[in-house]
Amino acid sequence: MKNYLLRMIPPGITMYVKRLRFPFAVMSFFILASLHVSAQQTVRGRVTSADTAVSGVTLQLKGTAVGTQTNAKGEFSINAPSNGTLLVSAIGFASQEVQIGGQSSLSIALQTADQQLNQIVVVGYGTQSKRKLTSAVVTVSGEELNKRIATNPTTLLQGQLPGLQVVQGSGEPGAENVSLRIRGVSTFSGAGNDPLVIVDGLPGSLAALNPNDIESVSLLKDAASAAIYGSRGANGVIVIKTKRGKNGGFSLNYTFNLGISNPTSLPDVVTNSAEYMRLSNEASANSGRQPIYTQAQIDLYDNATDRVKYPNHDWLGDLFVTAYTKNHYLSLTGGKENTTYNLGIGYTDQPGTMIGFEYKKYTVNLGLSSKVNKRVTLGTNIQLNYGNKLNPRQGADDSFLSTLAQSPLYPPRSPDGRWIKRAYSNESGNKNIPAIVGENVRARSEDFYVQGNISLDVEVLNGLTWENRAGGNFDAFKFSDFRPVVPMFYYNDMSSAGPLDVGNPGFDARRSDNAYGVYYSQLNFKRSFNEHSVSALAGYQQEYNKASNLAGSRLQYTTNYLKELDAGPKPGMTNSGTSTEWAIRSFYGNLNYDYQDKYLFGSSVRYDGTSRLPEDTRWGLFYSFSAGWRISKELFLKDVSWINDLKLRGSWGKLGNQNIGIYPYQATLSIRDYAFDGKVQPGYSSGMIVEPTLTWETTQVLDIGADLTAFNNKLSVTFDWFNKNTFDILRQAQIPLWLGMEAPFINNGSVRNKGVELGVQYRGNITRDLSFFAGANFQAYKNTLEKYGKREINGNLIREEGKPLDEYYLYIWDGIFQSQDEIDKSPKQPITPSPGDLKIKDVNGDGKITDADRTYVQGKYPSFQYTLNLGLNWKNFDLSAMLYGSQGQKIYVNGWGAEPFRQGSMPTTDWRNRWTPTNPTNKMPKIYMADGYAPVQGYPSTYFLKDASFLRMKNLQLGYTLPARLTSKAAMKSMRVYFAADNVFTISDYPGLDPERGGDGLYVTYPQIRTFTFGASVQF
Amino acid sequence: MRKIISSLYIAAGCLFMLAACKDLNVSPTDKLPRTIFWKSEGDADFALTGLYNFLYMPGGNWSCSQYYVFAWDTYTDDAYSQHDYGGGRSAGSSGLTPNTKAYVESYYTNNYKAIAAANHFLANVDKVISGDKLKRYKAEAYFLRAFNYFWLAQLYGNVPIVKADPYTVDYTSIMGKSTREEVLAFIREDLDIAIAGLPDVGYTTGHAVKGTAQGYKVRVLLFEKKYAEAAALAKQIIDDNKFFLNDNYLANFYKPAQNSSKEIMFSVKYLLPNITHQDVPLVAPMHRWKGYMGTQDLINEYEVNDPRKTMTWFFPGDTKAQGWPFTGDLSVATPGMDGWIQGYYTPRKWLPPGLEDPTTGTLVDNDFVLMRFADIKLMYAEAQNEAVGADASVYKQINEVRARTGVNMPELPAGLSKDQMREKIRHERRVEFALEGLRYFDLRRWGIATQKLNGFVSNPLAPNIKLKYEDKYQYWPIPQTEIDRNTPALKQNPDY
Repeated sequence: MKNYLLRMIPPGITMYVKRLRFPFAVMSFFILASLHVSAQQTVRGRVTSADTAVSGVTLQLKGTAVGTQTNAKGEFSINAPSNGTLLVSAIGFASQEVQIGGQSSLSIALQTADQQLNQIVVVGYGTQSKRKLTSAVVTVSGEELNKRIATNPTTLLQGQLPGLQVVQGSGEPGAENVSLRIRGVSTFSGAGNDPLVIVDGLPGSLAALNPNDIESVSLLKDAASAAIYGSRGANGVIVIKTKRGKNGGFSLNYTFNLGISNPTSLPDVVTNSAEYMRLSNEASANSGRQPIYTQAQIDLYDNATDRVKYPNHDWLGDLFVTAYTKNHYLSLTGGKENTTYNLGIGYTDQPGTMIGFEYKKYTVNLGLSSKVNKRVTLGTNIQLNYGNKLNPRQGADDSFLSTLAQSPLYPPRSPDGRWIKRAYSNESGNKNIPAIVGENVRARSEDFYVQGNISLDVEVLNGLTWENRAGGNFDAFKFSDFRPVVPMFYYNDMSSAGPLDVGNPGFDARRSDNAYGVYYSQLNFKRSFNEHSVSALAGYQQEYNKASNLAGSRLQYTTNYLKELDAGPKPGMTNSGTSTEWAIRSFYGNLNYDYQDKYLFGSSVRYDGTSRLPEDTRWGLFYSFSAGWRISKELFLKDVSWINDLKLRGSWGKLGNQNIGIYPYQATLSIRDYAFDGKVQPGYSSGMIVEPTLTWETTQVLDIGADLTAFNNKLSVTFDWFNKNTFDILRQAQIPLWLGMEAPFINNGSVRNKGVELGVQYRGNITRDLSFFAGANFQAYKNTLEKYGKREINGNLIREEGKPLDEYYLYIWDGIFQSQDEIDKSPKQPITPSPGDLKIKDVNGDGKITDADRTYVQGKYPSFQYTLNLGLNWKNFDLSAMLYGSQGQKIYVNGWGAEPFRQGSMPTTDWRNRWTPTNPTNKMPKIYMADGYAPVQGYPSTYFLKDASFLRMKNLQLGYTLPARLTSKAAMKSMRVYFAADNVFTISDYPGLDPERGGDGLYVTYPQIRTFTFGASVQF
Repeated sequence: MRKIISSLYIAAGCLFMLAACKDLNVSPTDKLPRTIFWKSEGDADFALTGLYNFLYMPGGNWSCSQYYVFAWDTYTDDAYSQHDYGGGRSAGSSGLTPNTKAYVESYYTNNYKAIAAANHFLANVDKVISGDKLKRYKAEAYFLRAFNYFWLAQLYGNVPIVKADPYTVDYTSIMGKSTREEVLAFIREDLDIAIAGLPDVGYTTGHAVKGTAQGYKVRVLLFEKKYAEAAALAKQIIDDNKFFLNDNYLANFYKPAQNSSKEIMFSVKYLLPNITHQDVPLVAPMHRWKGYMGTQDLINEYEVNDPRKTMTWFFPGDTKAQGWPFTGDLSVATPGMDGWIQGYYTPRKWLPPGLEDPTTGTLVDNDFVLMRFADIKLMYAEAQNEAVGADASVYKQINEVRARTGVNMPELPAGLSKDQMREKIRHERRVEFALEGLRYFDLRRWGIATQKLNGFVSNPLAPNIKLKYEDKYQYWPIPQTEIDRNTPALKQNPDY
């Protein structure tokens, strides 16, 4: 074969190759088909395990694409050369190779795979067998992830990895606003809480991937696993491996699915115009304003028969539509002659459930690996992503709140096609989103992203490999925003209402790019001596990043048709642009030792230097120690047959964080111009203090865990307890305000997170045809701000030592004032109330409500989160379900939708139960105009705090794999059709919208979506 | 094999070396390091310009700065801000607390930032310039330092006095406050140096001149009730003949007319297209969004036929003929429409004439007037009246303001008592300076803020909504952040 290949190469290169004696067999991957032919025969056989027939076993002729599966009786037949080798694999069993050796009938016995134990886990700078792990690492396979259908793979991690908290903040296509937190929020610094994401060995982007291209995801939770990432591992590490081909044959896989999406829930608002008008007038009166509507106007709507002229318009019905998402995915994978390849091509077309939102994502993933020589392996992984996003220019929240801020008295567009601003000119409101979308006033963003690496591994000696990896990523982002002039009208008399509110008419364009390069070189040593086995790693890495941006704008275009900078007038044009860069250099290593595969020890170290810190303090040393004890290997447990493996492990280590600003230690001059004498005069001032001893933020983690597999590997349990302390937090000093300076960045403060994580899985067979699995993940942690300095109150949150970081700090809402008499007898409220207003509790009992009556309110973080995974396989059917729950967190929300008549916004129907003199409830105040109604809006109070605990069926999927006898007739290896439902139902007390959201703030956010997906996956 | 390995080593080694060239010393590409400053003469100009830039600092709600003078009127019985620009609405409903971030903390912080920059300037500028130039430049810095301390003194009263170059101060140190009297004395010292060093010319370029510093000193003296001194200094300014009432009252409030108005003594300068109002051009929040609306109480204050009433406000039924800027369906001014809350009045002051349908994209760059000559004349009248009574000079100054071309209000009746004259002066200030941010400070200075403001019904159509003002607001609360960071040296003002 080698010679054959060499013959394919032009003579000059052959000469060169021969002279170097350098085997260029890497090129062999281009040759997908072998011309190699040998004597064929039909081989029949039966596959069993413990004398029971096993169905669905894949048998593949090694080095070819020829393959088959066993039937229900465990039987198979395959055309194969008499000297061929069959690769036999089945889930739950150890793979094996069987030599045909001229036989025409084979009997193959499968061994149950010690699956959990021999599983290879991707860890920092390498892999490790699961049984040897001494650190807290959990893994999920791509297969498991892709049971759910999503376009952003980040969202798929939810509930899959105990210790990882995934909150999808929004249902907006291409902007899901996913927050990943490993073991809680551990710092208040700008350095952030985002974990490091490693793709194929190098820092990269998870969101840019197509979910189908993921082979596995590992979560490195403790210091022992993450310390090798030193400076960047403090918030944990997510390690992603993308697919590479497998040796033996070729397979083509095509998947298509169609998702039908709707918002999971929407607030129920008053859409009856007359009712809206009466409520509005009542709210006006309560808020000390004049009524907006006359009785005659109310009567018009009340008694109208012409519902075109006097509609009860449902604006949310205009804003939300059913969205059809299409996912195509094609993969070509295979390998032969020491070369494997995988090519995945994905295309997603995902329109929003909110009008005006569109997202298209194109992905390419290429993985190649070639063993060019007995000792040399070359490889590459490249991912390309092109995203094209359109959205109403001010985004989802604005679209939602603007639409709520319409009255039901008019439609967005008149029957003759004119856009409507309001029914009457004295109504308040916000922009007409159907008009914004209809006139295409949308921001356009295009994102070109590529990440990739080239690896070269050389086996220098037996057991010693030299591994090199160079790669990086490049991101180019284009943004444009054109704001035309669109005339609007009042519906009552169709008079002119000025232009559509698109902000300042004109055009903005932005370009930004980010280039990141990284390179590492390491020596990896593995050796076993009798009962001792040792592995060690030592390497050097460096990273460099440069980001730049340019932007320009022009105003007041003379036409709505030309949408480029050059088409606009020059007066008032602006531009801006800059660039930043940073670099890190690192030395790292680890050492693992075990004795008899029973006593395991590990240690890792990393020495990092960063450009973000001053020269004298920029180098930080991070290290960890860990140990494991496989008790099940001890003699005293030898006879306990139900335990397959039991391991206790513990780890301790230190990690760093430096991701604060780009130049936090360099004092610079601020540009401070002033308009003197008709000219802009340049000016500077220096208001920055810097701390020359600035150094690393450090996180120290103690982790104690246990892993158990039992009952013939059917049950597996993983448990971890952790105590994670982040200290020397990088933050701005609390300097006195009279100093008049920008506070320097310093190392100060600490945050502790303590918690537990538990994962339990059980797989079993009920009958031969019916198997099931059940899994549960549970995580809980407690957050404490241990050292902060002076307490700080920010809006509704407080940072105070001994309390959770950013705990709610609120006035306590204590019912409703029922009468003036009650007001007079109650503690004096700082904002003079009237009957029907909120009653604020006098917490300290001093007879008046002051700042001192604000108090700590729990609920900033969930008490615990849990996931249940259930699955059932019956014959060719598979059914799986995932439930996800989060308990104990609260969310502080206000504004449109949560409060009535904010900018005239439609009140929710629960305001029908508002306080009135005749309905003396204590649950709701009287209705008000939420445009600064002080007796309600003047307090950060628990009135605005909502219970956001929830339990939801995140996913339900039913699949059917067509019988092999059918598919093989169509030359298919397999075909599966499936139906999946995402966000099937939710149990929660949260009012109106979905409780799963990004945190406090405006009530309205892009709603989560419920999706029903139909799909098929075909393998050739 | 060995050869292969070695050549690979070499190849990789080269790659390693190339990549290793990037070192860890990277610096900002768009900002100069601080260390290169104070090396050449030009640095003095850059730094002086930098001091004025602090006049742009935002800090009230919606990017309003404390120099958005009209916002201060929403703290009073003159105006109401439905959108809470500058914080007047929330201060008037929820009250002032040490934890209020906008205005209470941000104005304090902004003033001290400007003071720190001035202190740094004063400590370093002699490294690069000398002689008369040094004296003049330092005089400007002293004026700006005093200007900022005067804001602090008026609002918070008792504050720390910081004079040192901030780079020489340990950022972990703490400090107590000085009394309002001490702060005011310190301000007068700075102003005296400024007066001695500033050029005795009219205010044209945006740089403070002698008259500016003198004018602020008059304000300080009046605040301290040093009436005789205040009157004497005001008279100096008047006699110096560098400033004159503008024959066109409204020309003080829009461009380009402001550029040639000899009445303006100090202002925050803006310049299209590059130096624009913070957030959005003033016409959007003020005229389009009706963010600063006049009260009926203020309208009632105007004398019959006082033209300043219609110069300052629009009234229902106004059209283009009265300067109403909106067209189409909005071409007739109608309460209840387009954000106009019934019971209030829409501003006309600050609106450039001829502008149609002002909105966010409208290009305007009004300078925000912080002091004009009419104020000096009325401060003279007030000080002189308090010091010696309603003598002829008091009449002369107040009548000249009333008799300004275009305003043409009749002279005050002769024979007014001191108390009667005091009322006339207070009336005159209210109508002359409506939407110019003086009333809040006038009411506090006169000691009648609680009486006038607490319980004030801003909109007669909503009698249950009352303004809140307490005696303790005479001294705003020192921001809680500052108290916390200076414990135990710094004590909160009384009753917070």
